[in-house]
Amino acid sequence: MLAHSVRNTRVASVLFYVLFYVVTCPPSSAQSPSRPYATDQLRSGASFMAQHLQKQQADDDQNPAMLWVDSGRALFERDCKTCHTEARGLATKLPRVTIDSTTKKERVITLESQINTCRSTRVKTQGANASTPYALESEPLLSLASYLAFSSRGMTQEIAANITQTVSWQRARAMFFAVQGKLDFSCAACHDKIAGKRVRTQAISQGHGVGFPAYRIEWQTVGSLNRRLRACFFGMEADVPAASDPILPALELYLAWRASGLPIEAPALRR
Amino acid sequence: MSTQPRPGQNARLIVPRLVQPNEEFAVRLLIQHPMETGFRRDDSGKPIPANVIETINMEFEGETLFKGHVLNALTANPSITVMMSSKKSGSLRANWRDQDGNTGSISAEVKVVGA
Repeated sequence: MLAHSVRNTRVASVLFYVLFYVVTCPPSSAQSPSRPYATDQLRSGASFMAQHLQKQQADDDQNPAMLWVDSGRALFERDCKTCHTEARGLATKLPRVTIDSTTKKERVITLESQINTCRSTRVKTQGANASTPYALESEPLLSLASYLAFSSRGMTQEIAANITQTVSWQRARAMFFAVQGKLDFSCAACHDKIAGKRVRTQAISQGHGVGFPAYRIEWQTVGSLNRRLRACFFGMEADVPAASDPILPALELYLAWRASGLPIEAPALRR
Repeated sequence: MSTQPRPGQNARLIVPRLVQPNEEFAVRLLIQHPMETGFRRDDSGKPIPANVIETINMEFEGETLFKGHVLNALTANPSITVMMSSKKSGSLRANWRDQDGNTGSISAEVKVVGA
């Protein structure tokens, strides 16, 4: 009798793990990987917010992020006009993958890192901090990023067709499906599987980055997608990567691929 | 971060494009300011000194429209909405000062139909 029940639990636990694996494992990357949401099912983070916040985001006069857009526009006119005559569309080219000429390794270029590359190679400004890259999450960097994203509002990000073949994409996808942290979550467990349901009072979004840089009420300021992703790791009670960790730009790339077809709505308002 | 500009320099003052005489309309003032409470600490554990906006004044053609000693009553990047009406067109001006002595101001034109 005892042996019988032990065997039963063993069978049950094996069955459980098989089921668990089927539910949580990423689909094999040997086949062409498919996006979790079809283009007509994509919903941006705004549609999961309360009505009054959606209204506040839709009205530029009420969206505090527009203050950053204003100062970003001034910086663009001052520093970027010599090369870029038109700001519209610049943000749609990013993030993208490039091969570093010296290390021969893959690197993901994000909107913020491209601004800093431009700044240290092309922009010739006078004064003490001439040609130095902006600090991450510093106000001028967020302002310029907000303005560029704002200028590409309504457009979709251009994603290269072979993006799923890159190492960065594959690393980011593995990270997206990896169960981690004290709470045994993975990004996919919520944002791919149960979007629209609630964790306590919070509606789970589909996890798209099209609203960033966004004004987050929790931060009381504008922040980049890099900062938001670190906040995700913190929320999962997992190891929070450093801001300079290459996994974060890679995840930005993965999110952009996942959301391809969804128009940019930055600078958005987020909880 | 030496690249951070002084707070309270950037603002928006929003008025309708055109109003009727004596029509009530909303004037919206939005100021970019961190409104540091003094309770936060930076990454190295040092307390960030308090710095919040002390006074906000709004006037229309020299007449006081709003006068506030606001301090901790407002959030970061505060937005203030004031209702007003006017018979004549004129210019609206807002200015503010924080505890560090940073001041800012912004103005906008109110256009009334036929005046």
